[in-house]
Amino acid sequence: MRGAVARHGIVRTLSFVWIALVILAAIFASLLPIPKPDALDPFRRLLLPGSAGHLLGTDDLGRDILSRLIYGARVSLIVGAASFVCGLIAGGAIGIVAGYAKGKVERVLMWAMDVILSFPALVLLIGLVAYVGRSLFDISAVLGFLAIPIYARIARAQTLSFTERDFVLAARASGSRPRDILLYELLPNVWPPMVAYGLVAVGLTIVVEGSLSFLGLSVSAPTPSWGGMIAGGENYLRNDPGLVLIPSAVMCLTVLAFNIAGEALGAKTSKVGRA
Amino acid sequence: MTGTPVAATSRPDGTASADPLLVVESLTTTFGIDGSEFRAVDGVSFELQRGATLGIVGESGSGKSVLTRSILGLLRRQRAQVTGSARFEGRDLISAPEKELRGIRGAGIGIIFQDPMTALNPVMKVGKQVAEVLTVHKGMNRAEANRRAVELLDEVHIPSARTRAGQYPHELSGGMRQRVAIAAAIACRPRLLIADEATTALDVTIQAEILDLLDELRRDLHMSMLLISHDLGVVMGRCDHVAVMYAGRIVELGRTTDVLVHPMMPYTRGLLDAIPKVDDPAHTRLAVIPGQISPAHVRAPGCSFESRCALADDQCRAAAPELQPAGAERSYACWHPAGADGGTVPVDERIESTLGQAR
Repeated sequence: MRGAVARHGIVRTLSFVWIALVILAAIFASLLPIPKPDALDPFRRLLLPGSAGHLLGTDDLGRDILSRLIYGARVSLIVGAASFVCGLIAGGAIGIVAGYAKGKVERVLMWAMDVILSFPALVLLIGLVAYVGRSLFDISAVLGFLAIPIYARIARAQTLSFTERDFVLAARASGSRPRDILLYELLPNVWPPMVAYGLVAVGLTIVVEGSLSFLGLSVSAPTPSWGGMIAGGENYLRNDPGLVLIPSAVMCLTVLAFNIAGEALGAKTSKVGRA
Repeated sequence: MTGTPVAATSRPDGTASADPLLVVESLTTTFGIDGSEFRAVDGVSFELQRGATLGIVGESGSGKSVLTRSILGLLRRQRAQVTGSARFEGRDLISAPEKELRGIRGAGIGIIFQDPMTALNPVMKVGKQVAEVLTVHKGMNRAEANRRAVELLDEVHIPSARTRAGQYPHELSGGMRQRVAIAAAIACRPRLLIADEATTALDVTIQAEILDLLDELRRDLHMSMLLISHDLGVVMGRCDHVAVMYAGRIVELGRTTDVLVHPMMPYTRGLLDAIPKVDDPAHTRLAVIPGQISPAHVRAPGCSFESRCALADDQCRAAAPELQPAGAERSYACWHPAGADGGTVPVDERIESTLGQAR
């Protein structure tokens, strides 16, 4: 029993460490002793991991895989963070207002959310990206926009469970304005579970961006991204599977780490909410 | 039940005042449920004098809480229709716009709810929750409000108030939390304090402490109080007047001693009989009022207590009795009031002793 708990703790710690590692590496990439991600080395193509000067080997154009992974993390993290921030702020605001206002306001807001949700996400994404553009900003904006309805639903559900609690009634009975009730009574209770969910959603967004990259619909060629690396290695799967497996493993680990972190946070916040 | 005579209560010293703090007249609250209507409060009228305490007693579902929420306009977000009037210091709360009500809630009328576990925001320090009322109504800045909040926590006898102010609700016991809720309710020195089942969720010993505290605050701050409870024991000895509610109506009202010693309505009698006696032999079965409030009978033309009443006859089934005056400050709603045919109900010694203790 104790062993299980301890192992659980280790997995959790490792997840947070991995996330921190990926974030730090992405931020300080230019300071690290690694080749530039787009530096070609035509005589040292398709090196295996462990080669001198190229820790994880090189790809078909002789570019350093470790460097491309680290710079590629920037795309994944920026896109993930954008959806997190957009979802939390816009989705949270819409959800809390809808949950507290009820009636017509709630119906209109949630109807709008349902409309966005009811489109198949990938089709909508491809359409939006085609229309808006493929820069990192465009991709982040589109993924952020698509994240709003899910966050809004969670915020609304949380708000609904709190608006009928006595402390909200007590606040109304002591003359608080609706604005104060939203800001001081509801918001502090609604955001913690949203952050917990948000971390899980960051993982999801990274996968979605990866899929877009794989389809060649995300940031364009010279900028490295994990999905793009997987797509690029596709033709060498038989002889040099590392080209596909290494970025896949990194993406998989990162998504897993975000999921575990989100769950850990979720367990913590639900404990606070019950107290 | 319209045109009910207003059952007036007088000051504790016996002199009726021409300027009551709260006058409720023919207050009716109707909920629309699946197309049918349910009257949770049905033509309730009463007056509350300045400095006086009125107890409202009734079992679950009798409409006590809906009554207080109707008075404060807290049902406006629900689809409830409230008619009649509730004049607080001359201003009708039922027809007042929401903005005006917000100025009265908390400042003129403070309210304490039943469950201290849920009445406080779990993620906000308790001091801040008390301070919040002050910033809303008194326009105090944060530092000033926080300082005053500590004083208020001290006023409700929370030991080491300064430390406690920085704690979260889950770090406090149930009784402590209820004290915090009381501190927030009295922060703006309201003229009326409503205690809506304020002690129901607490241990009996804590209950007494909280009731004593409410009594003390009411006297010191010259507040009037509406003490709402399903427990006649809570109301006994702490209220000048008591109103017994059943199925949304006041069925008996008068001075607490009069009502307890000479209950006229069979329901009041039943409530009194249900109080266990300390000197009863062991294994004595508790007296109970059979059945429960049924929505069907609330809608029927007759007396709503008819199905559970031993004295019920055809007259009771045909029409609901109106609340009628019976002597000074006394009224009842029953076709067969006890004591009306000359017989006096014997004074029950346990009520005597309870009142004696309370005095």
